[in-house]
Amino acid sequence: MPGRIYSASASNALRLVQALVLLVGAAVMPVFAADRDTADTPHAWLERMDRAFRELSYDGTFSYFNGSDLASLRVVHKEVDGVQRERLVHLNGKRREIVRKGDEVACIVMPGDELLELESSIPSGPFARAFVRGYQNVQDHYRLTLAGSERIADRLAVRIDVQSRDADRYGYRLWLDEANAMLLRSELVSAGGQRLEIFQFSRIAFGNEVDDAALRGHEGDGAMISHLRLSKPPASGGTHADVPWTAAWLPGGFRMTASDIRRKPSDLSSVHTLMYSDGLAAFSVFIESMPQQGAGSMRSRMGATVTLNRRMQDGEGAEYLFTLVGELPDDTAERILSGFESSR
Amino acid sequence: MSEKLRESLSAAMDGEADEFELRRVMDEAGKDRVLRDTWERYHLVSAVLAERTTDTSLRSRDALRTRIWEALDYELAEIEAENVVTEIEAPVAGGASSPWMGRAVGFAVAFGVAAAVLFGSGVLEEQPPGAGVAVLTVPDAGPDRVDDAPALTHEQDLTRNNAYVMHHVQQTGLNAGGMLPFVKMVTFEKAPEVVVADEPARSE
Repeated sequence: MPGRIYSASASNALRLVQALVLLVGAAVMPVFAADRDTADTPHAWLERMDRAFRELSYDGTFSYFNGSDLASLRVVHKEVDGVQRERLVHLNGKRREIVRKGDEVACIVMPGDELLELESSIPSGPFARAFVRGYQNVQDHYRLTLAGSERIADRLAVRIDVQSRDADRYGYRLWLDEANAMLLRSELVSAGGQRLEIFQFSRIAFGNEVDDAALRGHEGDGAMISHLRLSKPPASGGTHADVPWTAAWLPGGFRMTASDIRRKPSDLSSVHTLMYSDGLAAFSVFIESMPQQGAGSMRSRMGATVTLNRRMQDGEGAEYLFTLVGELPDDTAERILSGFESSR
Repeated sequence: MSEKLRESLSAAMDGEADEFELRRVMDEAGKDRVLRDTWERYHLVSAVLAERTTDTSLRSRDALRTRIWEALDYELAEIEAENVVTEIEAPVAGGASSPWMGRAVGFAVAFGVAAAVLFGSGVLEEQPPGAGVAVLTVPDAGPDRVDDAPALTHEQDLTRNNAYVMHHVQQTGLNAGGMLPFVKMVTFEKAPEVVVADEPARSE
């Protein structure tokens, strides 16, 4: 129940329950024992969430709402003979499956589905890495608080609110399983509390309930299978190309994480792409010479993701098309894009 | 198709074509159906072969970035060069060049992205070719903004933006980790709804 306010007594009782649950949990799950003393802090919960995605065996069905459409997916995860195995199944519409065994990934789709190889960036679990890895920066620009307990997917869950300290980024609400810190629900929310994206398990089973057979993909009925190898996470700092544009204004905490230049095959013109992140939120800026057709200035939104186009001129009067895509409020995106300056 | 042109096509596939040669292939491909068909067959074969290879370049982040960019570039090529089928160049900076096979895989990705964007978009399906979209005006032009064009935008803009959204989602997945970017991709069926739009660059 988003926005629910807990009384002090309820909160204290909750903490007591949490402590008991953690104490029991630590006894039966040694992997989490180190968190026993600090388990009742948001950071400790987030660290456990990170490990939960990798170390737990789970089989669940979750929904994902992007602001306009609702999708339903099943995820199965288990470590078998020391190898991480995972299966993700799209339950609505076109049948799509991702079956992962270590770094080997198979994408199973039906003939005619052209989303054949889009899983190339499939990672190991939702959100966790970002929250944990960028925690220090996150603390500077987000306020993390424990916000009570609720029942999600028929399980008790601890809620953590990640509130933005300014209006230039969105916040999050996370519900972690009290017993094992698995993320059961998350919401991406605007400053006004509007839910822009929702991710939520409706059913999830752990441990011995997860059947090895559930890890096997359904390859019949003429399905097409594409085998790929999972990419490794990028090194810190990323790659940076010499891009002759700079952002005169960025929201606090945002820094460039990657820049690149490519040539378009149609006319060999270049497209500059810049990516920025504050540790949680991210946006990309694409800069190209003004196309001969189209290139209208417009703004669109799908859930939390805004897309903004603007025409700009450099110091010599040459026209460029700027496109910003990211999980940002409209005003922030507009201000960032209008502040770009030619550095040559 | 002349032998010289076939050689140029092979060079383009191998990434060995210089700018003049690449332009020649592009120009000819716009007029020569045999050349286009040959080009497509080369890519089809390479894509099939790629499924059975364990190209080590695919393990690197830069290779994946290249593949994503190939997807983007292919889609842009489809938009901006009617009937021209071509290949992209290696990155100018900030990324690694990819071998022939890696780029062939990228073509398959590209096709997937392009098809998903083009056929998965309700907006585009509803728009006849060349149709504009009714728009609203945004009054707050920045200092360098150019605001003297008519108030129409094109389906190319929507398609381009879709490609950029896909690219952003993939990059977010690489940089931040998490399943959500993948979920976004696998459920990406429609173009974002245009809420505000204003001046396109030029009216052709």
